This record gives sequence, structure tokens and C-alpha cells, in this order.
Amino acid sequence: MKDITINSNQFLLKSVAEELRLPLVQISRLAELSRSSYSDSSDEMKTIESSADLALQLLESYILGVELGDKQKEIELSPITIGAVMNDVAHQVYRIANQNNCDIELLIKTSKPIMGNYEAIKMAYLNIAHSIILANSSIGNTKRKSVIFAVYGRGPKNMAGVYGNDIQINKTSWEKSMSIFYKTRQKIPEFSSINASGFFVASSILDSMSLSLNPSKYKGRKGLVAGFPLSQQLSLI
Amino acid sequence: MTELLFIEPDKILGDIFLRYFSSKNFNVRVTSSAQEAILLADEITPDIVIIELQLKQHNGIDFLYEFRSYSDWLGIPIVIHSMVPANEFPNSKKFWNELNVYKYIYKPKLKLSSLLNEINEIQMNKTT
Repeated sequence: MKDITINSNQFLLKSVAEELRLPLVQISRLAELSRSSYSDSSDEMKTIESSADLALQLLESYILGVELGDKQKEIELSPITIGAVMNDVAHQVYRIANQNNCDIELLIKTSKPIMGNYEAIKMAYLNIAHSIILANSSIGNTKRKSVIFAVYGRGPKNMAGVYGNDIQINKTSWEKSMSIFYKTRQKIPEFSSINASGFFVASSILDSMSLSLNPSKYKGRKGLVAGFPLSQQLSLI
Repeated sequence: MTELLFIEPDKILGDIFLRYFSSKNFNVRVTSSAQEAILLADEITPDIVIIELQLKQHNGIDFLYEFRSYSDWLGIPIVIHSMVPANEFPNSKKFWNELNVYKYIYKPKLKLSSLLNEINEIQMNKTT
């Protein structure tokens, strides 16, 4: 694990993020209440609710990223399968995908266990998935889009990636984006600035567990993947 | 009708809970303070208490201790529905068990419809 201490700026931002949770919960629940009370505004309310939920999730992930990066806090690890995490994520993003005219495919090719923090990994992939779904659907044409959640083995690792059929991201643009993301408004040229934040938050969560997020290709689609080392002990069980 | 007592310091959320659960055929009382909650509980004897831990003056844990000190209310299910994540209370399972807390729910993660399911589940468990 990385040895980082929260500095005062991060602590301040974390406090702001924590304060922002309440208004977002208010918006989300108010939209849900209206949706359940007045069916004629159901679609608009669904959109408001989803937007608030997305913002809330981004904040939660940011807070988690800061907490995981704090050397004073220990990350609890337990035996998990990445397939279970991705299955959970795929179900959770289903509504957003549906609203954005996007199908979801789940391809789990391995179920070897790893040691990890289920909630943290899930949070990271929720952000990646949302950002890819939104980016995938915001690119031009109106044809039906799809996103693949893939888990497969590669050597001593389980790979877990999210890939879109209309995503244009490659190693060069990803590396450039990672190097300039503190300094520029539109962090990844292929995505809007709002969508891209999810990648950076996810990257910081994975980074705190010594995992790295990288662009990759799968079944002709582009997306982002991370490799999870298999546990030697667990493989003996 | 089932009597729900919400202890919720935020006025907007309190109003949302009142409107939503009233529309689902519950009798709903909402208060923002722990002290008033004790008085209300004395008046109505709620079937289920749903509490935020971050309250003005007395915090939710003070309330839980006081509430559980009355033998008549020992069996009333309490749900913690809080903006404070559960993992901020390390080794808390035993602590919540001692206070007979039915469930700890992190507020940002649970929709109204899911909270309704939880409450219905408690009701079903009470009747079986």
C-alpha cells in the first residue's frame, strides 16, 4: 500500500465533499418522492434523481480515495472474486445505461479469488462504468450503444475492464491526461471534463491499493482495465 | 396503522420522509431532537424508530442509551439511518447489538423505496 498522509488541502476538500452529500441526498430523495407521487413528471424526475446519484457517487468515491490514501487508516482485505464485483457494478449501472440507450454485457471468464476490498473496488468500477457509459452515449450518432464488463485471466492476474463500442482512448492520450489532469479543464480530450473525473477518482482508489488503471482493447473495443494479482494462499484452498 | 418515529435533523429530509411514508399508509411523526423524540415516544409508543445519529445537542447515541433504559421500549426496533458511514464505528457490531439496533443504514446509499422495504421487513418479522 502507498504511504501517503492526508494534507490540509485534501482534508479541507474532503470536508467540503462530506458537506455536499446532504444537498445531493435531498435532491435525489425529493425526485424519488415526486416520481412516486406524480407519474406525469416521472421521466424528468428520474433524470434529476440519476444526476444527483451520480454526483453523490463521485463524491463518495473521492472521499474513499482520500481515506484509502491515508497511511493512518488500514484497508481491510478479504477473499473476493472480481467477477462478483463486476456483476454487482453491472446491475447497479443498469438504469443509467438504459437511460443512455446503452446495452450492458457481462463476460466473466475466470472466478479465481483475490484478496481485496470489495467496496473500494466496486466504487472504483462504478465510476469507470458510469464515465464510459456516459462518454459512449454522448458521442454523436443515435445508434444503440453497448458496454462490456469483462473479467479474464492473464498470467498471475485477474483482469477487470470496462469497454465501450464508441470509446476512443489509447495509451498515449491516457498517459498525457494523467500527467496534466491537475492543470487543465478538459482532462481527457475524448471525454467531457465531467465524465473524466470518474476515471481519476477510480484511478486514485485503485492506486491506493497499488493497482493501476490502464487503457486496453478487448474484443475490438477500447476501455480501461486493471490487473488484480491472484493470491497464492487462496489458490491453495 | 404502523407508527413510525423519524428522528431527522434535516428539515427537507424530514418532510420527505413524512410525505413518502404517509403516502404508504404509515402514521409518521418526525422530530429533529432527541429530547422531543423521547417525549413523542412516550405519547405515541412508536412501532419502529428511525434515527440519524448526528443530532443537535444530544447525539443519537445518547438517545439510544436513554431510549433503551425504559423497559417498555426495549422491544421497539430501531433503525439507524445516518449520513455517518457505518465503518466510522470500528468493531461496532457488538455495540449496536447491545443497544438492540435492528440495522445500520448509510443514508446516501438507500433510496426511499429500499427504506420502505426494510420497514416492511421489520413489520413482517414482528408479526411472525
